Amino acid sequence: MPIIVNVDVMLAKRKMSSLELAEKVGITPANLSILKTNKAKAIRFSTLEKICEILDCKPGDILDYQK
Amino acid sequence: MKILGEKSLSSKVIVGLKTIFTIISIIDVIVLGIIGKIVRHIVMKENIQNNIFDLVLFIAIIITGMIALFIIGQFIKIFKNFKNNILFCENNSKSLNVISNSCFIISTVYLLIGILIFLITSNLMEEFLYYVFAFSIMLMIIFAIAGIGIKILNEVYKKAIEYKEENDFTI
Repeated sequence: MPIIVNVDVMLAKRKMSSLELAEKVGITPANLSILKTNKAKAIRFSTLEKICEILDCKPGDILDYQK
Repeated sequence: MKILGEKSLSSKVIVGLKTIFTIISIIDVIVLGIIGKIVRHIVMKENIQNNIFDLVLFIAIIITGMIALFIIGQFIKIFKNFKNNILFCENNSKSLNVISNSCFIISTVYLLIGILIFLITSNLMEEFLYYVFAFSIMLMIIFAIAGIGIKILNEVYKKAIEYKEENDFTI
């Protein structure tokens, strides 16, 4: 899929662990791992909103499009 | 009544299917014995034309019997998955595909029997053969329709698996 999820980059910038983000967003670490490894088929707006809120970023900072 | 899981309708269906499997196996063994007798008659050159016809008929029965056993085996696999609450998995879809192809093979075998009997009846004009012809054509149509139906159901099942995966991977 040409959509790339850059959550790990933002996590490194904010010096936050995956577990902490998962807890704050309210998703399981397994689901966050699916998101980080680009295995996810879709992301809910509510999840994206929470991730952006916690990492203090915009959706464009997390999601990228590569041909 | 519980349909899926332990001590449910699925587990009872498995018992029923296993019983049918045993019955068909016994019939197949009996038919094998009859085939042996017919071959002996042919070797001894007794009433060759009728015996060859019987031989072809019983070989067709044993082939369809074996395929039926295979189909029941696949159904047992599917119902075991239902019993274990595994509903939308690739294996079930594969089993349905195998069942539908097996139905088409059985249908083809009965079509061949029908053609053979048609060729024989045109010479012999025996009433009994007309019944066998009608029976084989009827079975051919039933298995062809069953094969097509299961093929369509399999496509629906594949779509369901796709939707489930999409749902599972939506964060």
